[in-house]
Amino acid sequence: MSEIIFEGVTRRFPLPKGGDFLAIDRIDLRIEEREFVAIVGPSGCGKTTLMRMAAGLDFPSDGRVLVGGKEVRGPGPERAVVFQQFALLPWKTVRQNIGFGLMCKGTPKAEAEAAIARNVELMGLTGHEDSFPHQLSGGMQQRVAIARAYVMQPAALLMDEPFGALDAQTRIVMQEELVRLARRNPRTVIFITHAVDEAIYLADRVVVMGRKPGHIIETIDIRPLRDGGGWEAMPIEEVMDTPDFTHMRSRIWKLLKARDQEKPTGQSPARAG
Amino acid sequence: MASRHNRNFLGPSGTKLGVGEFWGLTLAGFALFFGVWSGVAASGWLPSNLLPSPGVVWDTLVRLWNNPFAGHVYIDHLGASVRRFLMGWALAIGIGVPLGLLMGWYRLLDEIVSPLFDAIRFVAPLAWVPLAALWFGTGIGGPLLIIFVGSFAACVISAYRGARLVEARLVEAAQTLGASSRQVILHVLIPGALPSIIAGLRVSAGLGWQSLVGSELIVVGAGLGYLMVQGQGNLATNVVIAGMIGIGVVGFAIDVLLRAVEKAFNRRWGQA
Repeated sequence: MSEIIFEGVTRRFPLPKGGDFLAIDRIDLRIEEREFVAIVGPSGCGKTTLMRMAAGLDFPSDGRVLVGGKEVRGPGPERAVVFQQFALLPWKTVRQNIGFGLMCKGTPKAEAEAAIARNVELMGLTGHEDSFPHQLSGGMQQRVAIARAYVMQPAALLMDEPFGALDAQTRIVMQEELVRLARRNPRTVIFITHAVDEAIYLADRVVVMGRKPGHIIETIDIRPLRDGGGWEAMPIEEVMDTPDFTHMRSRIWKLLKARDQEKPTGQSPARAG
Repeated sequence: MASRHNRNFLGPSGTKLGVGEFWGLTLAGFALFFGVWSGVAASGWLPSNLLPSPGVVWDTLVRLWNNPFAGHVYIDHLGASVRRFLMGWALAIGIGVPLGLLMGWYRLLDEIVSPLFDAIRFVAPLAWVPLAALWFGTGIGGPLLIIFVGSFAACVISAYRGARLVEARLVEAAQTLGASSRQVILHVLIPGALPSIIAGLRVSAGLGWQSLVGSELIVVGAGLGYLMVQGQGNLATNVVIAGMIGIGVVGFAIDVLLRAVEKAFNRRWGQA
């Protein structure tokens, strides 16, 4: 019971000079259970806002957000979030960070330790359990962040440009690992990114968004391409070299470019600058 | 942010000094100070009952150490002052830190309390002495109030800053993992504010200790400030200066101690 539904979702922000800024305009989107959906779009298109609403960290001005049939009322471990800047607790060790949600829930110690150990191994963190976040590289820290979300066995995983703060090489490695993880342990995933490559490689479906105001341009199913091309069996650099992949990339780029050059519509007249 | 690197002392043109050179310069500074003091005292420019020489002050210290003056030997006066200071300081921490944290976390509380706080905190500790005398006479409450007033603002401000510094994202992360409000406070907000609070301890201790003499104007019995006032009453400048030296040395010791605490804390906490 983890499908995510955005029903006529609108988000307005009040402007200091009066009037409203329309960040997202009546978005309808349905993400099926265990579907991996990537949302791509330029800065300011509202993709992060959508994710935050699914996470319960933000709420729609109009419309509803439902997860597993229930309207979202606030944050919770069944909708775990992975942040771009990791957001690990600096005063806790890797082990304590991963186990944080379990501790909050009151999970018995033995059970928690076993779960932590499993996820440490899963995310390749063996040997670093007693390190502090500042002693780890960016990639390692993000692994801890993913482990701490995964250990909660969330129905939905919400990832906000999780690899945005990593260098290019680490990013590629993490993308491969995430695909492995997602296939092994499927969950409903919303993955926010502005990197089109990443979106095509990781997702079942790619939602392309435009801005001013935030809206969905098009939703593209990647599965036919992926299954047809046998991407699962290929290393990432080969996948990204296939004609199917490059054509899809161009197609999405064109969508983003065209929309961004269009005259903005649907703005509230009071919007400044 | 140079506190971690104060082993790398800089010479005049930015070159690094060795430890020996550092201590050499420090001693040279003190030697210069005592030299000038002795010189001025010896020159007779100020009468010797107004500016006794370092030698006389030293003799006085020794005498006060071994013989009671104003009812107690030196170490007892010092002890009384330190005890009062610790009590007043502890009170300031106990009330000021939680208040600062709450003000930092709850905007509403901040808006209610801040104007009041800002208005009152510029009333110097010394200005509270008459009120303290009226309220407490010569009881312990008087000095406690003064030292409390001296330390309080720094405790509140450092806790407030610490609370504000905690990244909202960390709170959100904790919430998405299912943390209750109590768990957020315990595991995110307090640890996040702790470095600022620890730094504030040193500042508030210094300010509280500096309020000491003012606090002891309304005290009878014992205390360094009390000793100095008695000395003043007897026109014994040497006693006054001996008291000041005690205040300076203890204040310095408190600062050094808290610096070490801060350093050890930062090391263990490991934050960048």
